[in-house]
Formats: sequence, C-alpha cells, structure tokens
Amino acid sequence: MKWGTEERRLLAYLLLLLASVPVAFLGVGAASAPSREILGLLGGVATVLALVTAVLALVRFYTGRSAVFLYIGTGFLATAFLDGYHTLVAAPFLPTPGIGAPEDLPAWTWLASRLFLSLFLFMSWLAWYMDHRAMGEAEGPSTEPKEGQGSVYLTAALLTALTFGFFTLTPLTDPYIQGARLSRPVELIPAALFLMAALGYLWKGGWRTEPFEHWLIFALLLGAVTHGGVTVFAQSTYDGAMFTGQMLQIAGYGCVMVGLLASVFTAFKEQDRTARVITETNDALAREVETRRRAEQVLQESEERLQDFLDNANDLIQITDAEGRITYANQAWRRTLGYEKSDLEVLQLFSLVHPHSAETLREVFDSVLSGTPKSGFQVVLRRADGEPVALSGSMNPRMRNGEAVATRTIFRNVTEQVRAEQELARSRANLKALFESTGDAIWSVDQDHRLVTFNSAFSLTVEALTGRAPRPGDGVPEIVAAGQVQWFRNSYDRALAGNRFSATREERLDGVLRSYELFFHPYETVEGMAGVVVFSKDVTRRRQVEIELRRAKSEAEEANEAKSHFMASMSHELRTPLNSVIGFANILLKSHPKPEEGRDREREFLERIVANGNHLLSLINQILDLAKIESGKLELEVEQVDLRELVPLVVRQLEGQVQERPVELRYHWDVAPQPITTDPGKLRQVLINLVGNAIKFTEEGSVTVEVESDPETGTPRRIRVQDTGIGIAGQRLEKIFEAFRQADGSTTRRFGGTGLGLTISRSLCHLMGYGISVASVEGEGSTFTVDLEGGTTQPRGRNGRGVSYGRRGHEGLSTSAAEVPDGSAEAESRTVLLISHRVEFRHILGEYLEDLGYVVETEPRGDEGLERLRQGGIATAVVEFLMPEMSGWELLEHLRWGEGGEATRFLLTGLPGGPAGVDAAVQLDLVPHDVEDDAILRAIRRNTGDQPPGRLLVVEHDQHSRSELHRSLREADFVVHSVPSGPAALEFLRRVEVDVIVLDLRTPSLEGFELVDALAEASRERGGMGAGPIVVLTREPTSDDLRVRLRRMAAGRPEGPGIESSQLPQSLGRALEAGRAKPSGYGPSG
Amino acid sequence: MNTIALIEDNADNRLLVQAILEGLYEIVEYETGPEALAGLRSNRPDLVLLDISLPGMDGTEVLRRIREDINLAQVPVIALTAHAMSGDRERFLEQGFDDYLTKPIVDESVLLDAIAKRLVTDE
Repeated sequence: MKWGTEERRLLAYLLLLLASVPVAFLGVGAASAPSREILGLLGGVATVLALVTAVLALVRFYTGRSAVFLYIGTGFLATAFLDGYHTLVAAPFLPTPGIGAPEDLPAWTWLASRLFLSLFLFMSWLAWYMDHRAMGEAEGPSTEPKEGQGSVYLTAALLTALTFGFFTLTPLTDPYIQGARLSRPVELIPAALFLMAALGYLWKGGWRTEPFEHWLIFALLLGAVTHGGVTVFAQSTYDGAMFTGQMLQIAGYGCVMVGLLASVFTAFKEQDRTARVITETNDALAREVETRRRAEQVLQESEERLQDFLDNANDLIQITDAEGRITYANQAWRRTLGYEKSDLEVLQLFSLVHPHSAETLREVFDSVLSGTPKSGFQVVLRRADGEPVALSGSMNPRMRNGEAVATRTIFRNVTEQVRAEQELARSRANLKALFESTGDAIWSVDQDHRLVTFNSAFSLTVEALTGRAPRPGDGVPEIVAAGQVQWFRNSYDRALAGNRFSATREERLDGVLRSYELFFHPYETVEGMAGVVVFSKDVTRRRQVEIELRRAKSEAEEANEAKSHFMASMSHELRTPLNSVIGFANILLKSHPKPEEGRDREREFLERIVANGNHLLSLINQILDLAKIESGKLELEVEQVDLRELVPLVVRQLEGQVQERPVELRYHWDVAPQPITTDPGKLRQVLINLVGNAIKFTEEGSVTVEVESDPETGTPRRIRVQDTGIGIAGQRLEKIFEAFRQADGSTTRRFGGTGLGLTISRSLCHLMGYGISVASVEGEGSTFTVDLEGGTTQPRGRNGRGVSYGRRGHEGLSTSAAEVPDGSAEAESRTVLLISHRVEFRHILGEYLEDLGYVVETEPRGDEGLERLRQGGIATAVVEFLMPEMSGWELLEHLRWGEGGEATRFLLTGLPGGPAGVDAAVQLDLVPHDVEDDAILRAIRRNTGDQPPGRLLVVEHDQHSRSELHRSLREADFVVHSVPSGPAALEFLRRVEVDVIVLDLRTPSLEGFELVDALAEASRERGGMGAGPIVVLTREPTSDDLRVRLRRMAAGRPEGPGIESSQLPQSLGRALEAGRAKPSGYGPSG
Repeated sequence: MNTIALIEDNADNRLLVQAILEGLYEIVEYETGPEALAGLRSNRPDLVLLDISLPGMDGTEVLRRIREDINLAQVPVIALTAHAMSGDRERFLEQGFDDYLTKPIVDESVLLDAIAKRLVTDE
C-alpha cells in the first residue's frame, strides 16, 4: 500500500507521541539541570520565537484574515511578553524586574506563559468551531473574525496585565508539591488545553491539507507532552524536567513558526500559481477577445453584405414583429411604398394595407404567426401617396422558444402585371363585346378548316342552316349547307395561301333568300399561317337597294337615251320641211332678180321666207345645242389657250358684221394675259355670241373686247365685252340670260337672233366654271363680263358657284359671288347644296332658296359635289340622279361607304317613275324632277325643320273675287291656287296637295256643301283621317243651323261675311296649324 | 354631162335638188334603197346623193352595199341629210361617205361645190 500525506502525517503524530516517552524519561530522570545561564538563554530564544511567531501569525491574520491566526497571533504575542518576563525572572544575568523575585517565581511565570498560550490556542480552535457551528455545514475557514479584533487584543492585554499584576502583588505559594510523584499537578491544565486543542484541530481536519495546521498539531502535541509528560514531574525550577520542558517549548514554538512559514510559503506558492493562472487566463481572454473581435468583424462584413443584398434586392423585403409593426424594410420596399427610413419606426403593416386586401393579409399574418409559412398570396398596399401597389409575397415566421416573434416577408411588385392583366381583361371584354354585338357573323378556322372561335351571330346562322349549333372543332360539312362545302374549302385554302378577299354568297334562310358578303382574312402567328378569320355581313337589304337603284338608273338612262333619240329625230324632222321651204324660196329668188328700180313684192316675200327659214334653223340648232349642254353630253376639251390669239380671232371673224355701220370693233388689254387652261372652242363660242350680240344692238359707236389680268402675274381675270348700244332696262336685266328672254319681244323682230345666244353662253360659261354677268344703262350701252376666276384652271371650292345674273347688283351692276355666311351652326343648318349638271335647275332653285333665306351652294359635277360634302357643313343636299361623269347614284354610293356627308339630308331628284320603294342607307328623300313643282322646296323645308308656306286652294266662282282673294292671300305669304268651281277643285286636288281650302259656299255647278261632302269622301277613300280644314266664305250672315251643319260636316269654320275681312290670313294661319296636326291634308299623295 | 343619182324618199326634196342641179347634171331619182341599188347597177352614175333616213333600208346600209359592189365601189357618195346634230358629220364620214351635207340646203353653192369637187377629183 501506498502512503499518502495524510497517513504519513498521522504516523508522524504517533511517532512524536511515542518519541516523547523516552524524552520524558530522559528529561525527568536527568539528575542535574543545566546552568541557569543556559536556561535564561533558552528563555530568550523562546521569547524571540514567540514574538516572531506572533508577528507571523498576525501578518497571516491580516493577509488571510482567519480568526485562527488572530487568536494564535495574540496568544503568542502575550506569551512572548510572559516568556520575556519569565526569562527576566529566571535568567541570572539579567536584573530582576520590579519586585524581588523569590525562587519560586520562574515556575509560576512559566506556567502563566504556558497556560496563556494553551488557552489561546484552544480558543483559536474554539473560535473556528463556533464559527463553524454558526456557518453550519459551510466549507472552509471563516475569513472574517467573529468578534472584533479589538476584543481579542483587549482580552490578551487584560490577561497579561492581570498575570503581571498577580505575580507582582500576590504572595506566591510553593509551586511544587515536594515529594509527590506528580510534583506539579497544575501543569496538567495547560497539558489538557494543548491536548484538547490538538484533538480539536485533528477533528477539524485542516492538517490533511494545510502545512500550518499540521505543524500546529505537532506543536500542540509537543505542548501536551511537555506539560503532561515532563514538567508535571518537575521538582524544581532548574531540574532536568523543566529544562526538557523548556526545550520542548522552543521546539513547539519552532513547529508553529515552521507551520506559519510553510503556510506563508504555501500562500506565496499559491499566490504565484494563482498569478500564473491569472496571466494565463488573461492571455486566454485576450485571445478570446481578439477572436471575438475578428468574428464580429466578419459578422459585420457579412451583415453589411446582407444589408447591401437586401437593400439592392428588387423585391420588397420586410420584417415585422408579432403585432405587425415594421422593424425592417429594405430599400426597394421603401422606394416602392414611398417611405423614408425614418418613417419605418411608426409604420404598421395593417395600416398600409388596402381595404380590399385587409382580410387576406390578416389571414396570412395569423397563419404565419401560428407557424405556417405562406407564399404566393397577393395583397394590395397603399403607397404613402395613397396609390395602390399590388404585391405578390411569401411570409414566414421567426420562431423563438416555439413561438413566433416576428414575420419575414418578401414581396414582388406586381402592380404593372396586375394592371396589364386588368387591361388585357378589359380589352378582352371589349373585343368580346365587339365580337358579339355586331350583327355580323364572325368565325375563324384553323389550317385544317376546323372551327376555332365564333360569335353568337354565327352560331344562330349555322343553327338556322343546319339545325345544329356549331361547336369548336367542327369541320366544314358540319357548319355549312351540303352544296357549299367545296366552295368554303376552296375559299379557306385561298385565304390560307395568304390572300385577303371578299365574296358574296346567297343563302336561303327560313325560306328567304339572303345575301351575304364574306370577308376572308388569313391570320398568322409566329409559327406561320395559323388559320382564317371570316366576317359575314348580311347585305340583303343593301343588295335590294342596289338592285332598285340599278334598275332606276338603267330606266333613267333609257329615258335619257330616249330623250336624245327624240332630240335627234326632232332635229331631223324639223329640218326636212325647212329644207323645202328655204330651198325652194332660194330657187324662186333666182327667178326674181333684184329690180333695178322699184320694188318686186314677190322677191321681198321670198326674202322673208328665206330669212325666217334661216331664223327657224338657227333656233333649232341652238335649242339642240342647249339641250346637249344641259343633258351633260357636252364635254370640255381643255388645253392651254392664249387669249392674245383667241380674242383677235373672234374680232376678225365678226368684223364683217359691222362693215356697213359706223361701229368700231376693237380689243385691248393693259397687261398682256398669260395663257389659261380652258376649252378654246367653247370660250370662242361664248365670245362670238357676246360680241355678235353687242354688234347686233349697237347702231353706232364701239364694241370693245377687254381682257383684264392680274397686273403682277398676268393671270387673266375677266373678259369684258362693252358696247355703246341701246342698253337694257333694269327690270329686264335679270331676265336677259333666260331662254327666249331678249330684252323685248320686239327686239327679236328688230335685230334678229334667236334669243338663245346668251342662254347658251351662260351654260357654256358654267360648264367651264366661269361666271357671267351683265351691267347696262338703257340707251348708253351694256357690258357683259365673263369672270375667269374660279374656272377650269382652278378647283372649285365651296364658294365655287361664282354665278350671278346681275339681278342683285345696284343699277344692274353685277355681283359675281353670293355671300356665304360664316360657318355658324345656324348657317350650316340652312346650307343647301345643289348638285346638278343642269344650269337651269341650279339657277332657278338656287335663286328661289336664297330668296327664302337659305345659304345656297352649287356644284355642277357629282365628284365635285362629293368633295364639297366631305368638307361638311351641308344640312341638305339636292342631288341630280343622272349626271355625266359621276351620277347622283354613284355619289350616294360613295357616301354610303362612310366618306362624308353623315350629317346631311339628301334629296335625290330626277328619278324616273317617282320615289316608290327606293331607300338607300343615307338619309334620303326622293323628290320629283320638276322644278316648277315646289316638291323639292317642300322637301328641303321639311328636312331643315322649316314650315313650308301654307298652300291654299281658293274655290270661288266670281272671277273678280277670285283674283282679288288670290292676290291678297299671296301677299300674305301663302302659296295660292284658285279654281272657279267645285269640279275644278276636285280635279285640281287629284294632282296637287293643299293644306287648306278656301271655299265660297255658292259655286254654280257644285254647291259648297256638296263639295265639302265630296272632299270628305275623297279623304276617307285615301284612308285619311277626314277632311282637312276648310275655311268657308259666305256673303251672308251665317245662321246658327248653318254653322251647326258646317261643323258637323267638316272641321271648317265659316268665315264671313265677305272677303274684305282682314282676319282671313290669321284665320287661315290657325287653320293651317290645325291641318298640320293631322296626318293628311287634301291631295293626291296622302 | 355627168349623171348624178339622187336617192331621197321625200318628193319635195327630190324636186328641190332637181331644181338646183337642173341643166348642170343629169339626175336619176330613186325613192328607196333597194330600188336605187337595182338602178345603180344597171345604170352606173358618176356620183350619188344619198339621204340617210330612208324607209326600210336606210342610207348607211345603201352605202355599205354600194361599197360592196365592185362596179359601184368607186362611185363618190355624198350624204345629204337632216341629221345635223353635232358629231353626226364625223360619224358619217367615218362610215365611208365622201362628203356630208346637211339639210336644209341654205346655200345651194355649197351643194354645187361639193359635187363639182368630187367629180373633178374622180376624173
């Protein structure tokens, strides 16, 4: 077995005790004692040792602060004092202090010192024990003295002082019991105390580990042995026992000192070790700190990278706490939602959410908080400025101890995407609506001719055709009638080859033949030709209208052809007899030579025959010319014409006509005219007519042809033919251009000519786009002006009518263009465009409409009329049906395809066979051709919302009354017709519609009452609501029964007595109002 | 004296032309186309004055047949007609008439000049 420290120490204690027995025997048995000097020396040594030990113990106490050391220290200190005293008492070479010491004193001082020491050592253990008891089971020595140090010192000092006092003052007894074996029994007290202390410390167990307590136990055992085994036997102060006792005392002190030194050594060693450990620990700490610092740096860099990453992420990243407060939001988040970093502290996720998404977000959030991450949800948040932002996100929780403490979310901004989707959806809905709302059937097929998409119109059509609704994927035979499969296959193939085309089909649908126009459009995708889209438009009605119009057109053309034929035949048939008249007269003239003198009356007659025959011939020629111009068969042959050549040519040609008269025929210009683009033949004809006319009416003076040109450009503006002839009276001036309206019926006879020259000239001018006007002062001469501006060289705009006839000018001076009011709405609503190649039609109707306050524009050609209509602002257009170049029908065709004229009402005139059954897509009225009939005017008024003037029929047998009534009613702005009798009235009413009848009750052949009955009957036959108003005139006061009779018969009211009544017009006005409220008046076309 | 064939259904007109040309030319009159064609073949004239509006066969048809007949093809034919609408002249000359004169004959010299011109040219 191996001996540990503990066993070795216990063995040492045992050996000490065993060794003490022989030492005691030897010491006690020694006969002689050493000298007193040696004893004194030993006493000094002991004192010094005690003092040193006390100092060491106290130092130990103050450094270790163990109460044990305090007691030991104070004990030794006091012992040192007592030993010192003992030494002084016992040593022979020192003077005895104080009192004279008896022989026995050293024995007592020895005992006092020993007793004192043993007591304090025991107390030191006791102090530990008390402390130990108080501390319970607490390990280790108490580091704090239980009592104040002062009290220990005080006790030591008191005891020391008491001892000194005692020795000094008390008479000492003999310290030895002489002769007894135990000669000093009192020695057993310190021995017991030492032993108890030794046992106490042994029990305490500190010896096992601490060198001090180990040595202390040695010292205590030595003390116990010293007193219990040696000095108890001492016989005298200086015997061997005492000497041994003193030796053992010193050894005991030495043990304590060694223990203290060992303790100090151990303490120092411990301290050193501790210091080393601390240094090592510090080093380790420093290393740890460095490691951490580095780790932190790495972490920081990592965090910075993460931050950078988060901030620069395009997605919105946020962290909230469990309540939804934003604790982190990256840059994209802040930028997208418009918040600053500083705003984040107060932001709450749920205060950002759009009301529409609040519920969704709450559900997601709650789910995440309960530990289930959510992704792919969509919410709408509101930006700082209130704008909604659609976000798609995924959210997950941050868990701590099984509880969600925060949420982490990544959002993606899908606003644009959502917007695009909404836009797409809207667009789709829109397209769908378009697709469905059109009445046209629309469908598409793929490359294999299989049905892809179709609208409901298609579905209905197919169902009607095949009895089965189409389905996507259907092949051609399933959706079209059996006979058409191949046709559709061919068409699809044609379209699939990349062609766009339209085709017309006819289908018998529900027993009705319908026409369809089909538009085939191939469509491609990135992969190439994908299929065909087909639009099918039901054009049945349009076809019908087209057919009607074609028929009407061809009828009109036939009629026109017939008219041309008639004109040619008439020409031929008129010429043939004229041939004989003129021819034979000429032959006879040869046999009647001019007599030398006197008169040959027969020759004169023959000359008259020839002259009139020639006149008749030129009449025929000019009428035919005029007819040709008016029928639009005359075409312009336009070329560059130099007036400097043309004008002299005309003048030269006519020079022969003035040779016999004192008339100077001349031409001039201030500015040399530049060539113009015109029809030279027709312009020449106009000039010949005008110059010839001027010559004809000028007996003397001059006829001047003047060309006026722009002084800068030389562009010819107008040509004037001025004469010094008889002139034209103002009131006749306005008629001068009308056919057969030469200034005076007598002029034809006097000056010759047909009276058609000016009419033809005007027609030719209009054909070329020129204006022509006349100014004249009777007796002084006339000036005819051809206005070249706005002619064939320039396109004709809206002011292109450029036509006037002088009737409006002051003193007959012409105004060349009518004023067109600015394009105000009112002016527009009253703007009428007349499109006709017929000059008379344009002129007469134009004048008439202008007098009625309309703004009139005219266009001689269909294409130009169309151009004008496209410019807009035309309320009503009167269109000639048949025109050269572009017919009225073609014009309307153009308009029907949406090329202008949407806001315009159309009156189509010149249709043969009346308006029955024709209805085009444009707003269209059909009116009779005849200008004299005011049907056109009435239609225009109807279309512009104007009330046409009331049309009256006066039935009055007395001619004077009739004409008087006629005149006065016309002055009151009524359109008046008058007939003398009832039958005539009925006859008239078969042809013309009237609003009110003014009836004299007593017409000769048909009594007024009978007429009223007949009218009512006629009205009923036409399906009318009854007779229109009849104003009855009587010359006698009307009797009551007459009034009753009249009321019963008709809606008329008697008016009387007599035509002088100034109330008649007002009465008629009221009657008209009443009549208009009814659907029908009187007349043929109810 | 040259022979002129006049084909004209109107007796008045035949008389008038006869009166104008009397003494200058020998006139052979025909009333209808077929009659004239038959006569012309047996009695070839030096010039033909041909009315257009003839009953039955009209003047243009008569002209066509004259031109088809080898013996008659070279005979000058002048249209003498009341078809005097503008454009008629061009139309008739195009059909192969050598000249075109309109009725009524206002100035007989026109007729005489035209005849003389055709006859001189042919001789």
